[in-house]
Amino acid sequence: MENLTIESTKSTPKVIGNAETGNLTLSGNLFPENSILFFKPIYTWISDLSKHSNVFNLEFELNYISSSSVIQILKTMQLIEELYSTDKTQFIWKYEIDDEDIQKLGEEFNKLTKSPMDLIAVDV
Amino acid sequence: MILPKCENIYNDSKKLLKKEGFELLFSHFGEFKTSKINEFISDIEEYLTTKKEPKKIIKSFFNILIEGLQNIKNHGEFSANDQQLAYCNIVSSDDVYVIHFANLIISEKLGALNKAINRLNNTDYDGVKKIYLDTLTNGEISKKGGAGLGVITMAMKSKNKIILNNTPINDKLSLISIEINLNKK
Repeated sequence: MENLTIESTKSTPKVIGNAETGNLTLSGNLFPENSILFFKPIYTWISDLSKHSNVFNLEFELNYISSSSVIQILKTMQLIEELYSTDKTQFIWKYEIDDEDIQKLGEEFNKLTKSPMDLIAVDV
Repeated sequence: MILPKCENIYNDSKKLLKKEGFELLFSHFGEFKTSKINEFISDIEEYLTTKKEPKKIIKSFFNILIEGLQNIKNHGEFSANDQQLAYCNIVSSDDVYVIHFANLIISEKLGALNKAINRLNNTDYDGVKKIYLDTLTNGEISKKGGAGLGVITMAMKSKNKIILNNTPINDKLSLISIEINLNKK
């Protein structure tokens, strides 16, 4: 099982998936032209990894997020909860210390999902 | 003759904004390809940073811009000669930024858009938030990944009513303009 690496652009985040640890991190801006296409390889990687591992840690540190990507973030979390047991999953939602909107979005995701979620304020 | 008609509406919109006392900051008429959107966004981000606007205003502005421009690109109709004609005007006064996003739409779809915007305009911030969450969890997702959250996001970020104008272009198409107001304070 290979790691996943997608380099960042102005509108898309750096994506790093570590197959050994089951950690997936997305950091940067998230407003791709087509959010479904952007998330496709991520979904494939998450599904493939579930055949080799039962642990999954998902971490976001995002700046600007388009509304269509908000849907895909929720779908990513739901996919992980479908494929992995919720006691083996962990979500981490990092937000800039005074970015109330991103903080609140994390809180909404926390309400909409079952896995434990750490909401962490980051001083950028 | 869709192009000259749209261009006239665009020129008139700029004249009207200037007449109303606004300073025209950024404006583009034509297609919004990805490179143009990124260039537009970068220029505005740089302008707002230079103006030393609070981070909260910059973030709200940026989010509105992403939604509005992606909306044009993903949903704007094409004219008969395959041009996705659209425009965006950004103006400023002492206390508000006003952003106009305009694109072609099939006139039959105007009713649904009007209804969606009226629903947002006739509720308070908490009501808009509720509509956002309902759409996020239950909305039907299009092939391009949207579910109607774009306009709702713009309403949430601007905290003002959305103004929708439309001008019939021919028997099938109309040019709609979505006006978003973002208070500076």
